[in-house]
Amino acid sequence: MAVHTGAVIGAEFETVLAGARNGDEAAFARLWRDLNPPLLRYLSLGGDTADEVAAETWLTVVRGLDTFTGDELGWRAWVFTTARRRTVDAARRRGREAGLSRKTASGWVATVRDCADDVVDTLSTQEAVALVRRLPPLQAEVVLLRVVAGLPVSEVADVLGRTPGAVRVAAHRGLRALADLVAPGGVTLAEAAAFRE
Amino acid sequence: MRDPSLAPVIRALTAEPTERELEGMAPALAELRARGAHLSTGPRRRMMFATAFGAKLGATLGGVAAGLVGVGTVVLVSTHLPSGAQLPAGLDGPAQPRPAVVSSTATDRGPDANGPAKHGLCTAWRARSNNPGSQGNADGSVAFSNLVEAAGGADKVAAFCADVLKPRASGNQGGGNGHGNGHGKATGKATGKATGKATDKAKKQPGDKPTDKPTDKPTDEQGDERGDDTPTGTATGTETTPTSPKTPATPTTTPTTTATSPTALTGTPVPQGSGTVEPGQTVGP
Repeated sequence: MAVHTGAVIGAEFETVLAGARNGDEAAFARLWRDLNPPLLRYLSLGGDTADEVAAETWLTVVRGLDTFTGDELGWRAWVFTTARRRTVDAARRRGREAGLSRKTASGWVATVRDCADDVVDTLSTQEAVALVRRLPPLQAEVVLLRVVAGLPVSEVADVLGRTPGAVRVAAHRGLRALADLVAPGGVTLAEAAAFRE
Repeated sequence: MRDPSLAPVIRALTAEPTERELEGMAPALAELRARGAHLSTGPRRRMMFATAFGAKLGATLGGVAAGLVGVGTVVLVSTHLPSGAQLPAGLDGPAQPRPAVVSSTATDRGPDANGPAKHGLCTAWRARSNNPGSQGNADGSVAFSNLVEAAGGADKVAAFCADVLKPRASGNQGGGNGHGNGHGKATGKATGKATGKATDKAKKQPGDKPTDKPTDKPTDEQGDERGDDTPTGTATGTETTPTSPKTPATPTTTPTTTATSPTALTGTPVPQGSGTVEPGQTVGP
């Protein structure tokens, strides 16, 4: 499952990154546009702080632009790792103790266990993320990092500070739980829609 | 293997970016520009040097620049050239593009003493020699060894540095040296490119903290500036003039011999937050 949102930069990544480092705004824009949507979707796990945290993340990224070395995957992983740290900061600023004993814990994920509105026929992106937020925090993070951020298991493990095995388990469980949310008892969306008519 | 009912969810999660998700790039772009402003003088200045100093230099710079395309550190070439037509002696001579100067991947070679970093190194060297209380001129840092080597010997450093150490009338404040804006935005860091990468910092200022990262909050790794809260951490970048290493914005503490140097930013590994100038650490600029 290596689906990701937005275009992957691919072979040109090195050049684009170098350009951005050089102050080339078009190059930077490319990096930004490539990751901002996934970032927002991922950060939605934390609730309404997503926009704020995304902005903070980019500032951090720009300031640290010279320190980064790596390929595109490493880049994505770094940006998302940075995002997680910024969510912790944001949570603290809001007076919420994110409950992180380790920086890697998923305490910042504000999952919503009960959701009044359930699945609709055609799922919007926001609705889909809302579904994911109903998962246990770790599973929610793993699912989004895999699906939305397009990170492979090892990178997800790095970002979260977990073992690849744990990541795989969380992914598996998360997806299964997600499927259950979408199609309780195996009833698909389409079938559910038919029943409602 | 995946449950088919998941398909709509996955599809929705990976849908094309919406307009809203593509808004808000402006602050990041502004930050990039700010970082760039503290970087060197940029292409325009480079062209200026090219015309001012003739084809040879222009070719050298151009050559260096061209060679750097893939590496993304083009700007560094003109970073520390003082205005006022003063060129470090070695610039159009042996100073062909050197990996240490150019590379954006930190190879621990320290700043190139013949290149743009010369000024900073010389300044630091002189400051240290004026301040015998510190480690004197003998210093194991890569940076200083580069200087010594470029000069042709420890005793020749004075002569080697003579041309850059005279007071600069034009007061080239910025020279891309990350300015007195001590509160780096990691703009300082960017300038560090001129002298090799971030790791150099440790070398050049022996008395300073080896890496700014650890001085920030412990959770930081990689490029994360938790230090955005204490920006100077990384901002110090490996600038060439570690003259006032401890004083973020006011180069007052140390008997800075370089009056004109836009040092503030540079070489201040001690982040704002921590604030203390450990006495034992006077590298003495």
